[in-house]
Amino acid sequence: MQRAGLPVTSHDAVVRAKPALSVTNAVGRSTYHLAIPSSTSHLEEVRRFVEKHARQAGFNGDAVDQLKIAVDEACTNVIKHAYCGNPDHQVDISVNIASDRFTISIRDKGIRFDPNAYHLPNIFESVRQHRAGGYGVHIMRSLMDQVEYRSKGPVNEVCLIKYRQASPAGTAECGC
Amino acid sequence: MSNFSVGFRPNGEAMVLDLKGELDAHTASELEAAIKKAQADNISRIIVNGENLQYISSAGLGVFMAYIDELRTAGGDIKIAALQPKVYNVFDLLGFPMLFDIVGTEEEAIARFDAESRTTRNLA
Repeated sequence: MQRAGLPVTSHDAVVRAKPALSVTNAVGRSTYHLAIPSSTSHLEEVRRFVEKHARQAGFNGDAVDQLKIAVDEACTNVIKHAYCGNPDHQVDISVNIASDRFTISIRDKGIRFDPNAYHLPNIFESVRQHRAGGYGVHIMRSLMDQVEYRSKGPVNEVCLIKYRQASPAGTAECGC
Repeated sequence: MSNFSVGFRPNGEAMVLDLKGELDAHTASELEAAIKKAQADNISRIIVNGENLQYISSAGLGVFMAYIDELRTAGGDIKIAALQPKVYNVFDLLGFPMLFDIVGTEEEAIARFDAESRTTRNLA
């Protein structure tokens, strides 16, 4: 099922009352995992998680700030739209640090987002209509070198990629 | 525990909202409640002092978008002052400078309100 303002079904039943952390390692790469309940009360924790690993990976302050807001926007969209604000689900966040890039993967089992159906709202129209949403995807795309959406079975994934240097044409290494 | 707070402080005819901490989809409701409280008190001139605002996401920006029209219709405005550069960058990313008065200091915001009052009186 896709989300584009349509009714919702979501699948997984929750999980953990508290976030869970884990780490995996491979040659030349490090991957760190965080699982949170689908509630905005955990956004600050997600930002801290990404900030910590981005700093450890050697990214400068501006890049760290950009990664934090991008992951916040991605998780907020999952919580609000994929799970329609229901906190009884799980959001899985993974950070992968490679020699040339920092990749954040956010996975859910809610309503799939169709990036092709996304249009940036007109800010003047938003003000006239007292509407506030729809800007998170624009922020992610503006601040990251690559943003990729994919789905496999019930699992949806968005990958946020920042390269250490000016972005080469590359393929995102998401895990779906 | 939320890492965000809103302080209320009158300055002339305006109400200053001192934002502190991180404004995201979880804490945006606190800013919304503060603006609603000002409206309930018949205050339409709001200055947002962002000196101690460390972070904002689109959910926080959305609160400004949702209320600016009502406040301007009531003869007031939201003027945004003293933002840290990293926070200003997010406002800029969404084109807020086209829509909002974003100034360097709270005093500049007061001066803008005063200038608007003079213009209004001269037109009357």
